[in-house]
Amino acid sequence: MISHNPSVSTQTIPQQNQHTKSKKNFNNCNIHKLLSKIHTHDFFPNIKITPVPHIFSSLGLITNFSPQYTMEIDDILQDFEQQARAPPIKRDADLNQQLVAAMLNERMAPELLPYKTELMDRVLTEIQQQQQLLLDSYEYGDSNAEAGVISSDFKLQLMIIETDIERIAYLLRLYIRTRLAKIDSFTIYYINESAGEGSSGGIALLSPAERLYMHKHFKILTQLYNTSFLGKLPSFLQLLDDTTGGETMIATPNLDQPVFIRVVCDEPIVLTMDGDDELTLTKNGIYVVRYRLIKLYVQIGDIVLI
Amino acid sequence: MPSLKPLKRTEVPLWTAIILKGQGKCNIIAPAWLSYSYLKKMYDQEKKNPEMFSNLPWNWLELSKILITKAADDLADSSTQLCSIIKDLREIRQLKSKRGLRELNESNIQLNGLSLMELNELRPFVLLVMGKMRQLHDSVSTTDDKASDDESDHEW
Amino acid sequence: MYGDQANKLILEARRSNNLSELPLHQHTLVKDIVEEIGVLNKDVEYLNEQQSVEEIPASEARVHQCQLFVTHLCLRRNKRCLLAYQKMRADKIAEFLWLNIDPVAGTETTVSHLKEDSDSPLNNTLMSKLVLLNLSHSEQEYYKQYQDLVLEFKSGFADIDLSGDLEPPTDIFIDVRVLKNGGEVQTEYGVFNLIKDSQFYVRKLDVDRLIQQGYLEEI
Repeated sequence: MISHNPSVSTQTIPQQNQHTKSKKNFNNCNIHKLLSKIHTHDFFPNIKITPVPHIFSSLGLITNFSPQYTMEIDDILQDFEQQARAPPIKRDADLNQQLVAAMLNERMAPELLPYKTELMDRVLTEIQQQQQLLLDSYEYGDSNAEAGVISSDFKLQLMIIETDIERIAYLLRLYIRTRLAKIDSFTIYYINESAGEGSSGGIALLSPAERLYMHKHFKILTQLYNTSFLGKLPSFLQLLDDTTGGETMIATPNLDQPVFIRVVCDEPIVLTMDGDDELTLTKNGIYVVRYRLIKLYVQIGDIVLI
Repeated sequence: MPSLKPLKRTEVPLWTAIILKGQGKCNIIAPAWLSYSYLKKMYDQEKKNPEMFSNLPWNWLELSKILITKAADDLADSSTQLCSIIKDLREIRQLKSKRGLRELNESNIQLNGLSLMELNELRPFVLLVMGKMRQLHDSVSTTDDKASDDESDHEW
Repeated sequence: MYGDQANKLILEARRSNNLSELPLHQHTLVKDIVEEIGVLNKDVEYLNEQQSVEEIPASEARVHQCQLFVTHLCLRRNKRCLLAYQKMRADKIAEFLWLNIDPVAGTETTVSHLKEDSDSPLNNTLMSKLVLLNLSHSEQEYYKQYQDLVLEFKSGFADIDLSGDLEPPTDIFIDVRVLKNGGEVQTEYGVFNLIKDSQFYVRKLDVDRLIQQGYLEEI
C-alpha cells in the first residue's frame, strides 16, 4: 500500500473571518496581532509570512487586482471596509480539510466507504468556479497585455490559483481512483452489497456513476472470460460466484486488517476486544487496531484513519 | 484567501508561502518550535524520560525539512545546527519507538506522541507483523475445529 | 500430470505481472487446459455412471469416491488458474487504459521493448507499453469496451483529468529534458520542438502526457 505522503498535502484555509472581525475591532486593537492569530489545524498548519515591501505590490489574491500599493494606515482601513462589503470568493473553511480527510480515510480503509456525495458536489462546483475564474483572468490578461499594464504579480496570482486547482484536482483524483480500485477488486461483493441501493434513499455506498461503472465493467469482464475459455467449460464450472468448491470465489475486503487511527472526538471511545478485554481510546490518541472494530466511528467522524 | 500587504503578517497555506518565497515576495515567520534552543530542550526531555515522547508537532519532520531547504534565511539558527539537532532527536525517538515495538501483539497497539512521518516509517513493519500474528492467533483458536474436520476427512 | 499445464500458465502470469508490458497471449496453453478440463469432466461422468450402475463393495466405493473428489479438485483448480491468468491480463489492460498513452499497433517485436524498458530504471513493473497484437481476440474486444467505459466515466468529471499523475503535484512549471525526437508541441504558453537532449521550462500540465509517453523527463 502506498502511504500517503503528507508533506505535500497542505490545504488552503481561507481566513474568512479576519476581515470582518478586524473591521469591528480596529479602533481598539492592534491589527498586526489580529492578523497573526494562529490557527492550528490538523494536517498542515498554515504558516505566517511577511510580504517583502517594494518589490511586492499588492497581491490581492483571487479577486482583488488592486493597483500599486503604498503602505498607509488609511488604505488598510479602507481595504478592510471594501472587503467586508464584498468578500472575495472564499472557500468554506474546512472544505479542503474535509476532502483531505475523506481521501485519507478512503485510502487507508480496506473497504469502500459511503460516497461523500455532498462534499464531492461542493468541491466539484468549487473547482469549476476556479477554473472559470482562471479562464476569465487569462482573457483579461490577454486583452491588457498590449497596454503593458500586466504586472508580474498578476501572473503570480494566476499561478497561485492554478496551483490551487491542481492541488484540489490531485486530491479528487486520488479519492476517485482509490474508490474505483476497490470496486474493481471486490466487484461481485459490491454488486451484492449495493443491490437495494439507489432507489431507497439513505446513505449510498456508491455514486450513480460508480454504480454504472461497476456493472458495466463486470459485464465486459464476464464477456472476456466467457469468450476466452469459460464458455467452453462444462456448465457446472461456468459460474463466477461459485461458493461450492470448498472456497468461495467472491473476493471480499479484509475487515480484520489493522489500521492506523487517530481519535478526534472529545469523549473517550471504549472498544471491546476479542477476549472481552476493553480498550479505551482517548482524544488525539494514535492506535493501530483492527478495522472492523472502529469502522462505525470512522463513518461518524469520531476517528480518522492515518 | 486574504489579500497581502507589505510588512504585514498574514497566514497563508504552506504551499502558497513557498511559492511566494521562491519569487522573493515574502519572508516566512518560522514556527516557534523550529529553533535550536527549543529542539534542544525537547532532546533533553527525550533523554530524561525514556518512556515518553516529547511534544512535537504532527508534521515536524516534513515542515522542518521544507523550511530548511526553501527558506533557510528566514530561520533564526543556522541550518547545519538545526539539521544536526533534528537528526539527534529523530534518532533518539526512533530508538524508543523500536523498543516500544516489542509490545506488538495481534490486536492493538498505542503509538501516542509519534508524528506522521515517524508513523509511516513503522507502518509496513507493524502491519506485516500484526497480520502474521493475527493469522497465528486465529489458527490457534480454530485448531480444535480443524482437528475435527480432519477426522471427518479421513473417515470419508 | 494433470495440472501441469495450469502450473505453466500461472508461472507465465507471474512473469508477466512483473513486466512493464503484456506479453503474447498464451493461446495454445489456454486451449490445452480447456481440453484437459474436458477430459477430466468425462472422467467425472464415467465415475458417476459407474457408481449408479454397478453394485460395488464398500471398500471399492471408497476408492471411487476419492477418485471423484480428486478429479473435481483438479477441475476447479484448472478453472481458477485460467481465471487468474485472464484476470491478471485484464487488470494490466485496464491499468494501461488509465494512462494517457497510445498502444503500439504495429508489429514491433517484444524483445526490443524489453531492452528499451530495462534502460529506464524507473518503475519497470508498471505498465508502460501495450502491444495490441499481443492481445487475444477477446482481449482486444475487452480493450475497446473498457476504453469506452473509462472515457464515459471520465467525462463525468470534466474539470479534472482522472488519468493524471497520481503523485502529488509540486510545481506548475517544471524543467524537462527531451529524451526522444518528436514533432512540434503546442501549449498555451507557446510552441516548442522536441529535439533530443534539449531542455525546456514548461507547464507541467501541458507535458504530463509527453512524460508518460517517454518523450520527456523531469529534471
